[in-house]
Amino acid sequence: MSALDRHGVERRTGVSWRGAVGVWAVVGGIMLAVALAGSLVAPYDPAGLVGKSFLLPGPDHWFGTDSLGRDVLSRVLAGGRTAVLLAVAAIVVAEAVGCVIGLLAGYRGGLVDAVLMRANDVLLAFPALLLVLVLAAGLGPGTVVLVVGVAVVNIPGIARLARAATLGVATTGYVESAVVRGEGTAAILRREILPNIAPTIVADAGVRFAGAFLIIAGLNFLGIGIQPPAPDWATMIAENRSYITLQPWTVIAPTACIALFAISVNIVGEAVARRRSRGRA
Amino acid sequence: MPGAASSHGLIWMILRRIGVALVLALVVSFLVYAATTVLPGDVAAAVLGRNATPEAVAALREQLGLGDPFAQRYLAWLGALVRGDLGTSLAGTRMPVSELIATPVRNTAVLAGATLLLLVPLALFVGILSGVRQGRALDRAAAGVSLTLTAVPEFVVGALLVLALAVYVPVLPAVSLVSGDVNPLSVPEFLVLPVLTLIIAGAAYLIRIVRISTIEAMATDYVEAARLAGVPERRIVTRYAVRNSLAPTIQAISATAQWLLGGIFVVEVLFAYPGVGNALVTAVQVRDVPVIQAIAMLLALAFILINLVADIVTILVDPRLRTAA
Amino acid sequence: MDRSEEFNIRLNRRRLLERGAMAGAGLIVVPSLLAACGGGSATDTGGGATGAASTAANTETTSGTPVSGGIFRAAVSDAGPTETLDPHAIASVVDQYRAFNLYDRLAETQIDGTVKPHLAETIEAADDTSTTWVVKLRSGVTFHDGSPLTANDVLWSFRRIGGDPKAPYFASVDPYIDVAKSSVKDDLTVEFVLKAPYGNFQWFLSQKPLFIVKDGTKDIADPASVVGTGPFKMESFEPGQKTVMTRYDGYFLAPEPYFDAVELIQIAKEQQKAALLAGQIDGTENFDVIAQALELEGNAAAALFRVPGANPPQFNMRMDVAPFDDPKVREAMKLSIDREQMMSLLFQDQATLANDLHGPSFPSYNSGIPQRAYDPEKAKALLKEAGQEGLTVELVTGLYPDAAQAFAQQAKASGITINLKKIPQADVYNTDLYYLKVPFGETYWGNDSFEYIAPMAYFKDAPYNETRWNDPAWEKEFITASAIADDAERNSRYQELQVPLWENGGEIIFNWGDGLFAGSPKIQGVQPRIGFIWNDLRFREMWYQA
Repeated sequence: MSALDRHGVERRTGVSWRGAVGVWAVVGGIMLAVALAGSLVAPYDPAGLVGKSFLLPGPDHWFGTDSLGRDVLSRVLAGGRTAVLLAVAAIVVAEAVGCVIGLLAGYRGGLVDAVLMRANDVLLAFPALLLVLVLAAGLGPGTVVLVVGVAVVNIPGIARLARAATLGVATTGYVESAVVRGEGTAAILRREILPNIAPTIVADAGVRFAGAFLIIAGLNFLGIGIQPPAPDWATMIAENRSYITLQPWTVIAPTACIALFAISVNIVGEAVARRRSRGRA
Repeated sequence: MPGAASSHGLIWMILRRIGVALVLALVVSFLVYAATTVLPGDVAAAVLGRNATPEAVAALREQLGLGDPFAQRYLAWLGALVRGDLGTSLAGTRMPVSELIATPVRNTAVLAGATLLLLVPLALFVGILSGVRQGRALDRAAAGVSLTLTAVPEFVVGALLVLALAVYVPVLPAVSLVSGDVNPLSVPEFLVLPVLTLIIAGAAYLIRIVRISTIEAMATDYVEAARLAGVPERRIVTRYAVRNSLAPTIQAISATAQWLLGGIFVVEVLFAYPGVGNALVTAVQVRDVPVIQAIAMLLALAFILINLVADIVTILVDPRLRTAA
Repeated sequence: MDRSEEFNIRLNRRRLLERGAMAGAGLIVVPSLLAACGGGSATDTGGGATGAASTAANTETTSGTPVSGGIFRAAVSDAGPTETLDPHAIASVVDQYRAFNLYDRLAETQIDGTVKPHLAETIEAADDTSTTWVVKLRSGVTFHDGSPLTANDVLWSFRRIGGDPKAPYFASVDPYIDVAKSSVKDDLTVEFVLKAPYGNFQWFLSQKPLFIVKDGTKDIADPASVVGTGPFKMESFEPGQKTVMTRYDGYFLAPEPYFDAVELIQIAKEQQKAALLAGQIDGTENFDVIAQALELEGNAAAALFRVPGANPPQFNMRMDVAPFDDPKVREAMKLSIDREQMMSLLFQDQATLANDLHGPSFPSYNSGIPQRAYDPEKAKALLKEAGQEGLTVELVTGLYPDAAQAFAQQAKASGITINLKKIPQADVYNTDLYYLKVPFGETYWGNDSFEYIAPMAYFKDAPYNETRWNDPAWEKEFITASAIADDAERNSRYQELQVPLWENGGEIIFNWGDGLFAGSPKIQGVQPRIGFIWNDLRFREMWYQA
């Protein structure tokens, strides 16, 4: 899934859609709240066997029950957190590694720079999902594969961005004066360059988060990531899709959650990115 | 002679791209081999499972060459791969991998082909029209819809379509189930939902690129000049706009084709469509290493090849790039 | 080498081979609890079943006098490049559909579960030690080419299976029958010389691959040279798509078969229900989702049939490692699974309760042992006695993730925390990582008899001793019992052996889930019985209501 490149392009090709952004920001806020704190208001234990299997929606179970008699509403409320947090973790790891490489490449150039560009080329020759699948063949399924895989996919892009931003800053007066003052490379990178490139990196991280969430959802759907009994939206779609004719709400509810969350993050992220680029211009 | 120099430069550019692609393929092959054979535990025992006798494990270790040093194993594997020998599946039947994946490869090619065949003209039409009529109702609607849909993963789009067209209005089968050696083209009703899912998930991106390219092309000096010269708008669109947006559009089509290679796994699994994506996910589950390696390499090579072809075509059609060389 | 060791090794080899062949057919490793094998039981064991029809709500209607005619179109889902027509190399389910109808065995399980001679007229021990058996063939049985069945064909068939170590089912015959010493006594009499006494030889001869082919048949996998004695003969064969078999008028059990022809049509499992309702086929395989089968109840366009107890999910505790080396902990675990709730959630109540023992459908089963119930209080008390209050264990699951999740919830009431370690299904039998290694894991045996499973699971050095049952005296007693030719006496000895197993064993077997399959409502003559679907694949017993 090249959601990343797609997002990268989206920022440049943005469509004006001001009124709706506010609405989607609200939706996104609600979905984020559901994902992070939904389990607190869940009426039942998301793993509890609380009824017969395949109950249709009713007063006791608003979205019915799944194949093991678990409350679908409770599972949906609890099913977003892990994927969201894993996406955050993957991006944090990727940003940390990517920024260090990018800073060094931008400031020092040379070998790091060349290796970085080649690594990026290699990565672009490989669909992200395929890469993580191949990793999963080796490491076995689990959340470690998700974080490692998604981080690996993002590192070269982040490094490239950090490198470009660093190049722009490195020749400015205050960096040069720091060099003249005789400060060490690490200090210059940390004190002078990092604060200046941070806004660019943070804005980029937001878009990358949306991409990471989608890849993680895809892998969970394929059964490579989060394992039962942990509730997860994508896993719910996968494990309930053979029962879709018996109890469609087991699929409708998590599908709606992923769709609303992904759309709102994308639209809000785009709006923010556009505002930044307009502000710069 | 500037012409000769230019065509010389052109050939040189193309050769360079081919060289880069070959190096990429080599690096990717190394990564695939390393990632699939550096497993925790013993691959041989993992594959054989309950029926493993010590002799069987030893034989499989032999077949996989697990006793040899890594570099030697990799080179042997690469050599076989270059000769077209994909090895033997480790799953029950022990079939040659090339035989095992032949039908899935064809099925995936049919699915991807059908998708591209419908998606590209559709996206070009809508994209150019939106670009030309920037800001009007069609443009706004297309922009809204595509902005929404790019964000939604394929399996969610597919699940929604299944709900709509197989559960609530049951006009189509919920799963593909093209089985055995049946050509999926002979049972087109099974192709509808997977293709539709891929089109919906993929069209948004392509439409947006085409639209932007069209808008940019319509704002060039050529178009301004043509407008001033009184060339009819329709002609401007076909002569200038379309031609000038060709290069970015080719890149976008290639990106879409590459996206398809990634998105197709999820769609194949969702609809139980017997293609390489499904085969790969199954192989990962049963740890059929030679099959994983073969399919991963195949997809990566297709990925690289698409990129290469798109680059070459872009060089050939874009006069600016040519002179730049 | 003493006898028990020798016996043990023979069984091991045989089991390994059988399991290998069946795993190839996807019959051993079930994809999930509800996605059990297409053919119900993994093996065609016999030995005289009793409680086959043990579940409620059977929709079978068997009425009236059989009438001939019609074509029966059965869906199969695993036809493909691995198909074979060689009845001694069957692996896929579709291979078995064919072999069971093109060929015959010397003995067959009957509808009441007993084993009776089939191509044979009598199967009798020639001596007191059950080492030599004389098989007299029915007269008048003919092959599809019209030639009569003779003792030569029988001996040739057994030598084909058990005379060549490279033959796929070599280990089903070689450890038991000395095919070189066995001989033809006259046109219709074969004398089998065994390598060790074996009391239930009649059941032995009813096993799956022991089909009788024509003496000297060359290229047996060629559709043109399929010559059996079976109720149907080969008409056409398109690998991966369709097999057509037509009625053999000279069948020795006339008026069977009733259908004019049987077609085996490749259709993926998920599509079979739709195909049945659309009238494209007349019979499905077992449904993966019981609830989806139950949706057909009351549907005039389909009849629902069942294979009772085809799916027994099973958890195993290793008796040689903590905390399961304490019998009180094992007992507490067995009391912490809610068998009734499992039945409802996993099988929509289309199941019967299991009592931690194998083989309830067979006469060797001890039905006098009380049924274990869900008793978290007693479990808590036992854990307290054992000094294991608030026990935490890890269950490694790959075959039955749903059942494992449910068990983890149910055991909370006993204060037991079951953490799940989900592994790929393919790794469950990985002997390097999990199989026989993990203290608490799972397995699948199918609906097999106690005597069939015991030497493979409860002997000290058995290859599938998943729970580490280790009792030399018990083992010796089992071997002594197996040589007894008298069914009643042998079975009563087997039943006694199950008591310590129930009290002390490490197996948690909680449900016998039924396999449900569907067909045209016109179909008559289908009975609920263990084995494969469609009366253990006996299409010859079925007919269409006029």
